[in-house]
Amino acid sequence: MIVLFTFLAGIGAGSLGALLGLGGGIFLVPILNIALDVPLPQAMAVSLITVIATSNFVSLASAGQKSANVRLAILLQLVSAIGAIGGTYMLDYMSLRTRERVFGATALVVAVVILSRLNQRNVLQGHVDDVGFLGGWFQDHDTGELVAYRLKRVPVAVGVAAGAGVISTLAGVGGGVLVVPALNSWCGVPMRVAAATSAVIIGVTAIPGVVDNFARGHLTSPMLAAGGVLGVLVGSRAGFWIGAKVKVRSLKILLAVVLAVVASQYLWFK
Amino acid sequence: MTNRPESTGLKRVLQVALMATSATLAMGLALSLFVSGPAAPVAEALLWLGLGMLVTIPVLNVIDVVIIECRLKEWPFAAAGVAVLVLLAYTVAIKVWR
Repeated sequence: MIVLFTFLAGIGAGSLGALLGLGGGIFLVPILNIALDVPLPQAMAVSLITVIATSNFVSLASAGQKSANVRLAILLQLVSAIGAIGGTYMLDYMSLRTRERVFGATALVVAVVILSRLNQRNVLQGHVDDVGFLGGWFQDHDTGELVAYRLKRVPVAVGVAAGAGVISTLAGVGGGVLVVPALNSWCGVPMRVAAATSAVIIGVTAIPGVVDNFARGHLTSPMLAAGGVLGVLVGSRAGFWIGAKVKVRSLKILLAVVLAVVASQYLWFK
Repeated sequence: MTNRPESTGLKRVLQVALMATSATLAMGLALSLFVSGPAAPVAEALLWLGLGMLVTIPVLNVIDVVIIECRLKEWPFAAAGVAVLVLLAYTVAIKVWR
């Protein structure tokens, strides 16, 4: 029965994850831990596996391939992988409660930042040939046109990606929860590109955490993991379909609300 | 421009691999839930195989990027991809094999 519930939770987490480029782990961990009474380390291990499933699905789907900025992704994967590996060593010295509080506070700050910049589209007007270092073009669903964007504040993107790597391992989530809002709000990357690029990044970011969990014996139930993964793959398809029909502003509001809920979970309800 | 149309053909292979991963996990899960006796170890092996395949796909995705960047002679990006692969290999070596 718990496998069936994990499958259903995976569908919900996968659809929200694909929609927001988050990986879905932030939804799955509380569901598994609080609702299904799965021990937290095991819930985080299953969550990280499902993050990889979401990443695979989104980054291999044609819409994801068109929107993702692959070069930006590969550079941020490098620093986020370093952060994730660092996180596996920090796990030996940090209490679980401290990790939950750090993550909750971070999610809350990012939610406020997004809500304060709701109308920022980050696209360049008119015909643009030079998009600068790591900029790009993408098909804007809102207007149907090919629009350009420039990457700003590269050090911020790098720093946030490294932090996302650490958080990914410590909290058992994808790290997109930090990367997507940072790329969109501070680095000039349109929301849809940020979400698709983040989806590419989080798959690699989650691998050190998964390997570490496996080595620590937290990944003990392949059935639970498989149930979560299959649910996430079904949910990702639904989330991607919904994502093509949702306006960017709505996507931002949804992301902020989700982040606030996640923050309250980590700060007060655990 | 960073959203490039170049492809090694590996993307198509990875899409098939993702479908194969789903099928392997579904088969393993079905066997685990509905079959007992001698089939149980097979079911568990299928589940671990599926999970292993799932974790391998992002790695192959990075290899795809490295190949494309090498073809384009964009060495900094190719080097970044190789560095990611080295880091992941380091993690496996340290955490699992030690």
